[in-house]
Formats: sequence, structure tokens, C-alpha cells
Amino acid sequence: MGPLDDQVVREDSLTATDDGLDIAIYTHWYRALPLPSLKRVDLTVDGRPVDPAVLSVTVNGQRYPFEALAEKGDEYWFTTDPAVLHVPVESAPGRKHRVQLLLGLSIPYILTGPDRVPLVAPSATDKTLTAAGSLT
Amino acid sequence: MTDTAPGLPRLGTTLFSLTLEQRKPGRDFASLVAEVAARGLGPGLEMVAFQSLRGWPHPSDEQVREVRGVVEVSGLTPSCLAINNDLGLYPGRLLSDDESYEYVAVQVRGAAALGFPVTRVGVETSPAILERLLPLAEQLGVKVGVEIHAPLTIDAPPVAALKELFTRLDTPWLGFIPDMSSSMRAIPDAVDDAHRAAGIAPELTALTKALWAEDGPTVAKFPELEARAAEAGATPPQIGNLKMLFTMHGKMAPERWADFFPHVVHVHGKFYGIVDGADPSIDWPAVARVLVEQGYDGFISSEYEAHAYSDRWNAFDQIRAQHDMLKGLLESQPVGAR
Repeated sequence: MGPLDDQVVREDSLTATDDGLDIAIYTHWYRALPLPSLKRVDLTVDGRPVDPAVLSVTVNGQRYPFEALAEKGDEYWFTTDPAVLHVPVESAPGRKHRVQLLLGLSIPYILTGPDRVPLVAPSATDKTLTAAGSLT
Repeated sequence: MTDTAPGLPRLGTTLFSLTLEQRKPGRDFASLVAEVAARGLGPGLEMVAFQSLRGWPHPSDEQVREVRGVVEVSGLTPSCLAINNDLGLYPGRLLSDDESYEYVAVQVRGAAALGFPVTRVGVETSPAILERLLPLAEQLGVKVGVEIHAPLTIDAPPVAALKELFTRLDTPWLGFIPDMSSSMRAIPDAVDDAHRAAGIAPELTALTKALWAEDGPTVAKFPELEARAAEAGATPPQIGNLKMLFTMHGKMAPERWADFFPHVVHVHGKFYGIVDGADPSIDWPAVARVLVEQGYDGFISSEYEAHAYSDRWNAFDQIRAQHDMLKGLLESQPVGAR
């Protein structure tokens, strides 16, 4: 909630690639967070939900299966850097896609409730954008 | 710089105030620091390490040299480095005490390398860990302050435990960092902007504000908020947003900050907007009186936080307005209190 929500997915975030669609996302939290904080990525592209099990993510130049992020507590997603979601849906330069994303960031230093569970800060996006191309 | 008379609190800025500025094209760390200095929003400079420094908590030697160089050229004085104890780093478990100590200690060492005299941690850093950090703090000459942020107040059990620890240890190297979010008199209007943008019904905002204003400790009201908001049709993400208002805005009486002395090592000048030279949501005249009466002469970092809700206002202009207000309030305190 707040002005940074609108920057999670930007006008130039979509790129068509050889193996699908890349979506560059930016954090809506003010500080860098460790990669396990990327707790929830509920993504729907053109009305079809994307199973997190088929997602991979590039952060700091390294590509990880989404589910491997939970182990990468020694890597951080910096405030002004993109994390790129690699989505196995067909795309092409110039094609429009509707991207609906509920990004839930686990905030590791804000512990809530009697069980001291990290707060999950959500940000919702619903945008229709045009993919740029990086096809080879 | 906004200099205050000798013996009074000194003013400054935390780069956290510039969270939205940081994201603008062409901005970098050096340009933010330079603009704070050029606009005279020092002398103090604070930053959140994880926000401003790529690669934290393991900055390279070259990065340390660069950061020190940028700060030195600016003429600003490092006041506090906000660090984090990410206890919930891994899913399903919290860091052990040993892990937590190491996680914070490496950052205290980093603060020393960067030339900061104070670090800020959160209340999740337990008294046992703080006591364990004391020899390191003393050796490095870096104070470790626990931020007292909403929803915490003087009456919260963890705060009482800290007070007992600081009284027992009687050391200048550990202490409190009051943040005015704990002692607010109103939820700021900027919240309405964010709720509108997020599609949260005005009735839900009103319900949350009404519950907030009721008597009783804010932290105890979470279950009722969840239940009533769900009944009123709020979605789980919206309930998360509403709960955030309780986390971010406390209503302790500002006079109670006196109870944190003499163990105050730094102050966060939290604010959500100055209107016509006054702050509608924080009673700064009362806070200034406490700080001067207690003889506090450390830094107050201006921490503009309405950016979390709205981009309607310019953060630099807001800090200027708060500095002018604070300087006036501090310097107008009766001489007997100083």
C-alpha cells in the first residue's frame, strides 16, 4: 500500500524472450530484503495463473528456481534493483499481456502475534503492458 | 545547516525520508547526500544501511571508502546507522541467539568502519543479545540503540525489560532511540490517499481509525480489527494494510518519553507532514519540552514517512519545514529547562 506499489511492475517491465516472458519487478519495501522474503508471488498472465513451481527468478545476476529462494538468506534484493520473473508463457515483441500480481514480502524484522511470525506486506498489481523483445 | 543553540538537541536528516527520491531516475547515494547538504538539512546524517548500501551487510573496502568520501565532502556529520536484526530470515523458524548476535555484530562493525557513532536496532533484539553486544560496542566506540517505534510504548513488556537492562548495566553504549510514531495524536491524513489508491473502502479506513482512537493498548486491538474488518468485507490483503496502521501509529502520551531517560542515545524525528508550520499528528511542542528538560543534546533525525502513503508532498521541503518548526520549539524552551 502506497506510492511504491505502482512501481512493482513498470511500463517497461515486460520482455519477450526465447523461452517465454520476463517480468522485471521492483520491491515495494523501503529496504533490501533477503531472498527468502519473496514469500508469495501469485502471478496471473492473460488470465492464466502461473504455478510458482514453474517460475524462476533472476536476482543479482543469478537465476534461481522460485522455490530455491527460501534457502538464499545470504543474498539480498536491493532497493533499486529489479528481480526478473521468468514465466513460461508464449510472448513476442510488441505483444500485450495482462499481468496480475500479488507480491507478498515477508518482513523478517517485524514479528507479529504470539507466535512471532514475520509480517507479510502485500502489493497488488493489475496492468496491461507491451512486451519488448530480446529474441535471438 | 539547521544549527541549534549550544546544549540543545542537534537536528539532521535520515535518508529514509527520501525513499521515493531514491527511486527516481538518475538518483544515487551520493546525489541524495549532496542534496541534503545543499539544502542545509543537516548537520546530522542518518541512513538505513539495507536501504542505501548495496551489498550490506558485507560492504567492500572500496565501498566503505566511497561512502566515507561522500559523507566527508558533504560536510554532514554521521549521526546513526539503522541496522536490522532479521530474526525471521528463513521460513518457519527464527534465528538462534548465536545467529542473531552474529547478524547484528557484523553490522555494528560495518557502522564503525563507515564512521557512524550510533546504530539502531529494533526491539526484536533481545536484552540477552544486547548485553552480549556491549563489549563490542564499547571496543568499537559505537552505541547500540533500540528503536521504540509504534506500536511499542513505555508500558510494553519488552520495553520494561530493556529499561531494567539499561539501568542495571548503567552504560552509555546501550540505550533507547525514541521514535515519535509511538506517541501520535492522530492518524495522518496521508493514509486516506493510500487507501483510496489501494481500493480500500472509506468505511474500513474509518473503522480502523475509530478502533485506533479507543482507549487501551494498540497491540491488543489486532484481533478485533481483523474480525470486524473481515465482517465488513475486507479481503485478507486489505486486512494486512489496515493492521499496518496499528503497527505504524501509537498513542502514548508524549510526556512519557521522559521515562526513557537517561538512556536515550538518539532520537527519530518521525513526522507525516507539516501544515502551516505545525504538525497535526505529532505533538512536537510536548516532545521538544521533554527533550530539553532532560538535557538531551544528541541528534534528532528528521524522519519523513508520509511517503509510505502518498507522493503528494516534496520530502526535502517537508524536512525544511520540520527543521524550522523544531528549531523554533527547542530554542523557545524556558532557560530554566535548558
